[in-house]
Amino acid sequence: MFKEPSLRRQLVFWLVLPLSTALIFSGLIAYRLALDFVSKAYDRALYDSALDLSRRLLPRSGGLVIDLPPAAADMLENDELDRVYYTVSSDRGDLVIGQRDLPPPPFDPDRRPRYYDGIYGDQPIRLVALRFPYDPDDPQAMALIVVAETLQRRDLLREDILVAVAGSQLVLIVMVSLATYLGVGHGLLPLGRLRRQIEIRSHRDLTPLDEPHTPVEVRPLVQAINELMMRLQRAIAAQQKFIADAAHQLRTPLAGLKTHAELALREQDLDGMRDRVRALILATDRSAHLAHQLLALARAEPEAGATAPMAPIDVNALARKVTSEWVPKAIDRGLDLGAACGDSPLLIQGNAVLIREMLGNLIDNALRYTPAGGRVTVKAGPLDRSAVLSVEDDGPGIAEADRVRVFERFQRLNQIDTQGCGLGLSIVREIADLHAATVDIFSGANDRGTRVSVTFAAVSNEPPPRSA
Amino acid sequence: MRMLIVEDDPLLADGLTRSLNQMGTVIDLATDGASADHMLVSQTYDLVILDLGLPKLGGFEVLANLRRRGGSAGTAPVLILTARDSLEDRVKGLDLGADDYLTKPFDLPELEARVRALVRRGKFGTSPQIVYGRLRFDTIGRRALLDGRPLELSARELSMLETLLLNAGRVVSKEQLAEQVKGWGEEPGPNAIEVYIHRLRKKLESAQVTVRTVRGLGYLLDKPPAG
Repeated sequence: MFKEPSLRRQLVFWLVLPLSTALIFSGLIAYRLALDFVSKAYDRALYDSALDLSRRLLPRSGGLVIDLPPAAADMLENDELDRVYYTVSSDRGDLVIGQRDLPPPPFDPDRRPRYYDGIYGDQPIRLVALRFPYDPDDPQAMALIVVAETLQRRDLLREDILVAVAGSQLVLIVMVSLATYLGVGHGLLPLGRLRRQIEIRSHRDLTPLDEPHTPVEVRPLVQAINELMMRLQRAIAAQQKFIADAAHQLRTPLAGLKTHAELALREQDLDGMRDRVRALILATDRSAHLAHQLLALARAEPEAGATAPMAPIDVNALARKVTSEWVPKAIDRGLDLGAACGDSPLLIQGNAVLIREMLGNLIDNALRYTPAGGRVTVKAGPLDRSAVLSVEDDGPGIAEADRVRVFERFQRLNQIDTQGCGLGLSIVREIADLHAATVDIFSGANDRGTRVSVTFAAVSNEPPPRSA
Repeated sequence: MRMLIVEDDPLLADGLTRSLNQMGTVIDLATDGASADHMLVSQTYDLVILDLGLPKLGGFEVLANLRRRGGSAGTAPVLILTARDSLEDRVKGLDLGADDYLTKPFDLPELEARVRALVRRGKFGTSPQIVYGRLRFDTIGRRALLDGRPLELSARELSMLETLLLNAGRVVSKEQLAEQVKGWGEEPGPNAIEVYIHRLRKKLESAQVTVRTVRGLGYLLDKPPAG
């Protein structure tokens, strides 16, 4: 109906429309009632004229005469606006006085006055008819009296009433509409104030909006906005801390880079220079690794991850594929990397790119912290209704007390450890969270080494079991 | 041999130029997309190393223009070298007609190996000879030579050796091997593959070729010895 929703338009529409309808109906009723009362009053006057005539009836030698002097007749017949007609006849049908051709009553008249409408000489008229006993000696002797008048006065009054009622209702409708329009506007003022409050606000200002002065209807909205502000504030604070941490972390390999470059420049001996340059490459690799991890973390964060498309993935196949890709690196480091994955597809709902990143981080960690000659095994398999992906090594292991701490960002377990950047398990945790998966750290087989396992909800291949 | 390096970072451009000069090539350098586009119109290159984030004209546009113009200049092999590592960028680059894609930072030996491979492919197509240390595999004559003397290998063993050689340094799964040899009769099961590998290892003992078993995954032929 309307191009865009407007509260004011809706409210005005829904208030004014029914109110106006009610006013029009009440006007109609008032008009009809007024007409009724007016009609009754005029009918009563007509009856008075009839009574007046009846008092002038006299019995005379078995017949009926009327004593109506010309002055009285004139007074009865001539009115300012309306003509008055009358007829008086005896029961026997003798006309005593008046017009014989007045429309006869469509009913059998009795002593009560009864009214009817008719036409007389092209003019609509109102008539009253009644029977009247005129002879005190003969209660059976009755006279029929009919009095009629034209409708000029009634019509004029009806017009006056119509104008008065319609006019007053019209004024009422206009006033109600105006009051509604202004009232709704007034009622909606708090929304406008809220809008201005948000409009003039800097995008950095995340303090809550005023709550106590807002009306109860708007308060939930303000509360929702304030809650969003608080979440934003927390998210931004976390981001800022992360960026600061990242910059700090980036400084360390850069410092190493610069130091070794300067040393290399100063070095006279070619072998010594080679050593410096090798250190330079190592420092570069570390900063490159850090940059990669930061990007991976940014991609795994819920804000970015919300857009990551999820699809059914065969964990067994993916685990084999990713592990295969890491085998050359494991061989370089003198480690035995292998897999123990099922042959049949094990499906989970997930994002292949992110799960690949997660598994890569788990394998990378295992390869970094397991001494040469060690064994690293990637396992994938079902467990109850879950799919478990795990990486197990026979390295130094993680003390039980540290198993929570390792998931924190930039957390490395000891200061001598300069291999990783401390983001690997944070990335694993973020990606697991996105997939509603859990990450647990256990000891490896025979209480040696580490087993990190990620448990996903498996997508069932079979139809769900029917409940009995 | 003439190569074009399109890279706006002077430090990296300098490093690339030095490295590829050592391979005995003439290097042209473009530091923005527009001049690269211009140079690619007037000159035919044996290889183009292309950055994506370029001033004036993006790398994707330079590549699209090159392939659209076609001709002998337009078929030059293109290696995209970029910091963008998302899957979409990779796919878009390859779809536009890039021949290879390497993300920054990269290892110099890897870049050099890929450049060599691209140039070779551009000049002669895929080489029919695989050389691996003292071993030489003739893919057309279907035979393996050790120090020039033919090795006694069955057709299935030859196919498996070829697959391993082509994937040297990478894990080859049993399924992959089975797929390769199924042309020679019915498809062998995993146990049969183990038997063939065992025989192959014995016959290759003297060639100092090591076929590693990777637990749960398959086999891996070590990267070819340097030199």
